[in-house]
Amino acid sequence: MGSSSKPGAARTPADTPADGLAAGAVPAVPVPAVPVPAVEAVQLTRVHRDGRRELKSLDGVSLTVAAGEVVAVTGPSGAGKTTLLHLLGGLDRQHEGRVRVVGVDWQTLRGSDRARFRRRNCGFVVQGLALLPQATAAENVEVPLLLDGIPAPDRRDRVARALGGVGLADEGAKLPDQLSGGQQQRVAIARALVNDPAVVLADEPTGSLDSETAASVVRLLLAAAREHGAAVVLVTHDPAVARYADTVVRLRSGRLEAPGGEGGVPRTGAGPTGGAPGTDAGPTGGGPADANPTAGSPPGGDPTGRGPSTESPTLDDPTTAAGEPRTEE
Amino acid sequence: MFWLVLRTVRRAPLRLLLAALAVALPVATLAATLLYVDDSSHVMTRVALSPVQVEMRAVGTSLGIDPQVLSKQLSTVPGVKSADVFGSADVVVSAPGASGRVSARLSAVSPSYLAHHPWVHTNGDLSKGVLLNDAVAGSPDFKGATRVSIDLRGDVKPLGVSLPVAGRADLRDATTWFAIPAGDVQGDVVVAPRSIMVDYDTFRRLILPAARTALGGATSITNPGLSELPPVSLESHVAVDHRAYPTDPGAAEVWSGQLRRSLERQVPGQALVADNAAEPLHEAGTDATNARTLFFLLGVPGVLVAAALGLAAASALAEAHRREEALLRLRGASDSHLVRLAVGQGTLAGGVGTVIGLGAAAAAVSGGVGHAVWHGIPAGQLALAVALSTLVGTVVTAARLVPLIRAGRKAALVTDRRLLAPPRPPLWRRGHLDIVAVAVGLAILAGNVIVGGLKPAPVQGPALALAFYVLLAPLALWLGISLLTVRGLLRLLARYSRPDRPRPLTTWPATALRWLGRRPARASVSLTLGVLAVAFGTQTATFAATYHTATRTDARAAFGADLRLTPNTELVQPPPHPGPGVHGVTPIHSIPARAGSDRKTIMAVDPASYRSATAIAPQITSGGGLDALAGRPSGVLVSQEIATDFGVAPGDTIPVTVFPDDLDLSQQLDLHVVGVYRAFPPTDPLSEMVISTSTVPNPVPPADFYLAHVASGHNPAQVAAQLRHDGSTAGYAVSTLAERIRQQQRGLTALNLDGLSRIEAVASAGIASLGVGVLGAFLVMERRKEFAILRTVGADTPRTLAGPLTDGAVAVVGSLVIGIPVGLGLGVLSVRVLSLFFALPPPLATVPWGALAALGVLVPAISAIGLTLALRRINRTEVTALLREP
Repeated sequence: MGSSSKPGAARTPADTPADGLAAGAVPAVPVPAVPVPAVEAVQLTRVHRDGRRELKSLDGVSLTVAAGEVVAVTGPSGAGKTTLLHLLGGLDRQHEGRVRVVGVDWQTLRGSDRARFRRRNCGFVVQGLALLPQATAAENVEVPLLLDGIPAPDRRDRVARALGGVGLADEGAKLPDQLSGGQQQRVAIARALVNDPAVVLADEPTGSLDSETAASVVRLLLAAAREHGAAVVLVTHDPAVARYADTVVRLRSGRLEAPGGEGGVPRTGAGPTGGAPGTDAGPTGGGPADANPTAGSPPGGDPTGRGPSTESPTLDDPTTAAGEPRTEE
Repeated sequence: MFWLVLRTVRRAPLRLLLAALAVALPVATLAATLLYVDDSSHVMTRVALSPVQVEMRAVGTSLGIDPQVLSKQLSTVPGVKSADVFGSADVVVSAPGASGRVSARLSAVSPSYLAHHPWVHTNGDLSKGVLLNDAVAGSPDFKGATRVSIDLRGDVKPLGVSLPVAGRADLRDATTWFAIPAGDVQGDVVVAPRSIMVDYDTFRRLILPAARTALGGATSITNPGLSELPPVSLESHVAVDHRAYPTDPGAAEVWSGQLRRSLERQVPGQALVADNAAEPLHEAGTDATNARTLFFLLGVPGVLVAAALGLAAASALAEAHRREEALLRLRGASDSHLVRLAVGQGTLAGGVGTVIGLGAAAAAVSGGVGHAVWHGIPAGQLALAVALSTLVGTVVTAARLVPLIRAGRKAALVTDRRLLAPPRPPLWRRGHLDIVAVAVGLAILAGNVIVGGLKPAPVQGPALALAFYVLLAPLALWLGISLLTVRGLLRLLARYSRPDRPRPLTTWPATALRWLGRRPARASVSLTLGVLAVAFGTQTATFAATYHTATRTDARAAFGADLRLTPNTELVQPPPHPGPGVHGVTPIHSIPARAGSDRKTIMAVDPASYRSATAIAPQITSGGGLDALAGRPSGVLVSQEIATDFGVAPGDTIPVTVFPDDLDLSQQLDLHVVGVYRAFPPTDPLSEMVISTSTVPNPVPPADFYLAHVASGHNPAQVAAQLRHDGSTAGYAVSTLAERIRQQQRGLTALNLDGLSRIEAVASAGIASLGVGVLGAFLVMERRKEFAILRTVGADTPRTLAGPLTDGAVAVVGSLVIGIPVGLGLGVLSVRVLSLFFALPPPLATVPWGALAALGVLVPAISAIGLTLALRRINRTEVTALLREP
């Protein structure tokens, strides 16, 4: 997989390869002087309106994800998992609170800058089999690179590496409907990773797959986190999948649940934060990356004393993994 | 169920509107075509009747009848406007003190007759004496005469009638008075060189008793071999109210025949009634039939493509319908409920669409013809047009409903599977309809060529025996070539975008094009509709433009030159000497003749001056032309009809009698055929033969008119105005070609296709544009998730919309690039197929640059609006909502 950037290094629009279309239009985005969390959400609230009624699909959610960390978001249907993912990826702008990716606040980006920032820093694996049906597997993977103005030879190499990395080196010329569900999902992962994003946002990536295929898909996502230092936020219903994550957060009715299943602020570990950035620093508070041992840690770092690189669960049998993922509830 | 239908309509009114539009399009196209042809036919009836001087001519079967009583009886028949007495007799006229006597035809009418019949030109008071025509008044024995004596011709006792000369009468236009009223050659006009007029009362008192005595009351009117005017004739000239005629020429002809029989029954045994309106109405009926054929050729493709567009638009509703059905199933609806709901919705949409279509058609045609079309069309025809259009709406509604009903009877799961299955190519591609249609079109044309092509029917003269199936050739080729070209383009695209040849993507637009080639179904629907519509519009516009050119050429041939100078009197007078601005002048003489038993008109021209004065050359089909005529003193050019009827060809001799009705000048000539022509300008008045003026026996009568050609750089209208003003053509009436064209012509060329052309061009542009609009609707509904995926991978708005824009651009550009050449080619073919409708061979094609430019602007512009609306809707849709859709 592409490895042009150091794991954990925050990439901003300014230091990514510029193409002819985009170079001059990139706004001056402040680059943090110190390492920042890959993802930082602060007091996110999302209100939907149904006529005169107001429904809060997210209500004051804060979350910090460090580079190289895998966070699983679980919860019942309608809890706000997908909404959270969309807000983290900047697809949804109608919210209160703040979302930063590699230190850049989505609110500061508009139009094509926003699109450019997303394709260079966020890899999406969306719900369902979300490939472009008319594009081959290779073209699906190539799309973000083409959009980014990467020269053709470079693109060819990176697509080959990306497909090889998901075990589909020989399937590049096939159209999605010629691939199995698992293969399609692997293509989607390859597409999400081909630009070496700082953040991978996966929405039920194993939802429609059998357990064996699901395991291989999760393995790929974990590899992305380990090898490329990408932060992975994984929305899933499947407890078996959630166990692979470094951190599991549970949403219920738009709020993060407290440990034990009650609503409230998680007290331990990296990830969910209950307070405003900086006010509750440290693993328990999930504050800004510089105050959070998890955030900004290189892969293999151990914010909880059981770093994923040394004690990650085995994919073959997650229930017997040496390191149980922390469950922030 | 009714309330459920209404609820669904209230919840989704736009869906009803789209479904109604699917029906409205074909209904509007068909209704507009039918209303236009009905309106045009109505005009043709009126135009056909306008030159008829006396619609019904009741000729007494004996001299014992009283025409005044006869007229009174006839005037009571419904539909009759007036009935005027008329008498005529062959007489000899002399002036007191002069030794010479001349033969003449005496006509007697009451002064009120002249008020009804403006084609009789008099200068004097008929009640005060006799009116002489120029030929009598100008003869040496009558110069200065104040009285004339009148006697019956033949060996009868002198009447001793002497009447004062009260003025002049110009009866050159009064052809009805000199038409043979019965027998085998009924309607042939006798050219009586000299004629006089008296008041009917004078005729009844002073002349008729002697005629009765001399002839014993018998007339030759009942003689089937009658080939001359009866020596004495008592008649009632019946004017029929034109408003009483049915507006359809065919129906008017039938009605006219019924009226003729009613008139004869009204005066049993006393008179034979000649129906002078029958022949022009019959010709107008034939023209109307040909016009309907023409409109069929021009209009049916529009109906077909509109129906296809309507069904394609309606198919965009299938997904919404499926969801609604699934919801209703969850709420306990049975198959029967769903079918009834679908039928209810479809029927409502069909009804609304039919009403919209009929209204749009009425408005469009009214705008095109310049008056409210429903006022000009009889109720029966209007009802028929509405019924046929409604039938089309019903068929389209049924075509929409059948798949919905079938889907409603299937389990939801089966429906889902069908929807998830990859789209199959459309029926026309699977069934190779394009190749079949091209083969059918070519086979029709080949068959037509083998049997000799279109030919004028010899018995019917100018009417054409046009086989209906020949008109299917352009229709089949339009369909076949358009679809075949679309198939070729799609195959090229598919070849370009084959996924088994991995190549890196190059640019984003090229990527969009490559992906289009792999998923062309929706774009190909728009492209197919666009190509068919643009080809149809171009074909119609090309035909209309060529028709327009041919009509003008026909008018030029009829008129013969830029200017026509017609003498105001029948007397010999000096030829006109127009001054500067006129390039050449040539005399045209109409010489009455008889060939066999038929009266014919020979045109005598001056070969030396003809070329310089005429605007259009004769169309010679065999033998020589003007030079051959000039080189042989007894030479004659004959029309194709004469060559066919008399079986003559260049080199043969044809005997004719010139001036057959003038005892003094009548003479037989053996003319040698030197050529056969299709048209020899001027074609109005119609002449069947052409000779040189040097061939006409002396004394050569005065020219009927002169043709003049204006000098280069001069405007005919201005030259005509100058000639009228400066008096250089005193004694002559000056008319121009433009004035001639403004007058309504008879026949098929009287049809003004401009309005139809405009309607069809706008309709085809609208259809092509709506086709792209439908594409936009499909894109909005089908590719929503794809747009969301592109957003997630970081595509900005321009690149997200590049795909649908490419689809739209391919559809629009392809429609124009394929449709216009195909339409031009088919326009040429249509002109060829219908070429014999024109007096002169039409040009290959007149390229309608204006219409093509309009298509080139309208189609992209309207498409851009439709596509922009669709893309705006896509762009405004929340990505997050799209990603959550199943």
